Amino acid sequence: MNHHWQRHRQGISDFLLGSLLPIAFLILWQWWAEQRSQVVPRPLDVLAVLAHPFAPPRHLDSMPLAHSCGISVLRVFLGFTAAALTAIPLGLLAGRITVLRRILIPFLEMGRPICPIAWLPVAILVFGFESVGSAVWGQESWRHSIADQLQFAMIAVIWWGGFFPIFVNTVHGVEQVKTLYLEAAAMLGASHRRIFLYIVLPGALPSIMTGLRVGLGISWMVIIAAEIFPGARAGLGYIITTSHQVAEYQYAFAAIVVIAVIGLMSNKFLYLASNRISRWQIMER
Amino acid sequence: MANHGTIIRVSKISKSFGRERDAQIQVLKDIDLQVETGEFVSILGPTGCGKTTLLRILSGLESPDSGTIDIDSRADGSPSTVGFLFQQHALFPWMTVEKNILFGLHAAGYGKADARQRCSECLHLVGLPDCAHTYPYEISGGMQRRAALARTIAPRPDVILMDEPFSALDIATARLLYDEILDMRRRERITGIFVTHNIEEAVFLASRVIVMASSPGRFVADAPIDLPHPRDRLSEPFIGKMLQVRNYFEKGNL
Repeated sequence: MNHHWQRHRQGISDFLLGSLLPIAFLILWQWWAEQRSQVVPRPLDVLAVLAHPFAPPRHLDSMPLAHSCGISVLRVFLGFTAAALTAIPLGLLAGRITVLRRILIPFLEMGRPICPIAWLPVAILVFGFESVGSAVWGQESWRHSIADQLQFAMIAVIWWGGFFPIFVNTVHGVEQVKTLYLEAAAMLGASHRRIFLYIVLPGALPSIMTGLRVGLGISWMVIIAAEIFPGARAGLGYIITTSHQVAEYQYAFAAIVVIAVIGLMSNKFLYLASNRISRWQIMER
Repeated sequence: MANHGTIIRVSKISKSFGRERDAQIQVLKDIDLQVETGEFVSILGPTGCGKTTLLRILSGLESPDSGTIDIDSRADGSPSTVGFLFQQHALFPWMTVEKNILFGLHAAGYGKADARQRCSECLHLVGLPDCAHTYPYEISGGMQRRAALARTIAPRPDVILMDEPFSALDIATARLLYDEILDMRRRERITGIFVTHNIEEAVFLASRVIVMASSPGRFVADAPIDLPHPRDRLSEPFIGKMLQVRNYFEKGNL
């Protein structure tokens, strides 16, 4: 009972301490907005935008905030899923097969330092302005405004950004699986398939989860930058650029708040999931 | 111990480690060994004499530079299976104790129902009937050992190789495990080879003690231990055997 109360108190004090800087930030923001009231939106203006996510933005050639958010999330979801679905199997194979690793790593190491956004022109050359919508409905795709905004070029850039951390961490995770466990499994007469499924995969999983977390974070950053580029007609990044063009900054600020909240939530979700999966690793230490 | 013929035949095994020809360390030199079915052989030697390497070669985890190992097939012609108990418990930390044991049983081709039954049988045998659903890190070192033992014996290997399985345990826990090993031997009738540097342990458990010396690793003595079970550590014949083995040990490792 006492212990429970202590944990509760710990939670409250964590919350209070964690709130200090955001509150200070809001006060500073309010003060700054008062100084330059012509351009800088007040926190309440931003709250008003956030309170009406389905209202079409004033003076802005953009979909409402909620739709834009949905489009950004869908782009990240598609690109990130593609990254996970390619990087994890390839990483597992490269972790097990030395020759494959030696072929892949130098090439990938060259690509790694290149900012994913730098690839956007290349991606546009390859995919043009084709989108999920135009691939499915062709000329009629404008009727499906959301699918029409899921351009392959942007998805490809997110894939590229998410691929590296997931791949590298998967290879690392496979290499990290203790020889002792592999030998123990072999001595129990397990086949290669069984060893792969029950020893290599779960042994590498904590590291794969780390890769997914890092990869999702990068994907989320990449999409905002990618949406600033030509061809984007919607998305949170698009709202940020267009609101700048017409000096309606409250929309940019609202988009930033949405980005922060979604980033925080998705990271927390993956963090909890990976804690569950890696419980054995934490307990082993 | 009744003999049913030789099951393991090892002849002229040598093994060196190190890359450079002149910097090579010979770990094993011309090892010959024959083990009869049902025997429980202890290989006794100081640290670094190559006994673990010998065991790893017998298990097939490592291959010798020269020499041959033959393990006889079963009566029905199928190949004999070898179980290995590692120095560390080697339980897979992401699986419960039960899943660990089932992993080996499924790998050995047991069906679902058979595997479950055999699993609980083995957990009872090692005295862990309540630990099926715990994870390895949730139980003590001694219990981890027992779980590892259960996992090794569950698929009924013909030969069990043990690499100092008791060295990390306190005396009381180790002795409990000795009793369980002897009990298991009586019920499951398997051939065993275990490596140790503990003379009392060797004499208490084994039907035969082979003494090794180091650099290069070689056999210096082969002493049958024909004392009946249960063995009394304080009895005169037991102490006599221990002294005899210690004598070989000291002579070989001057």
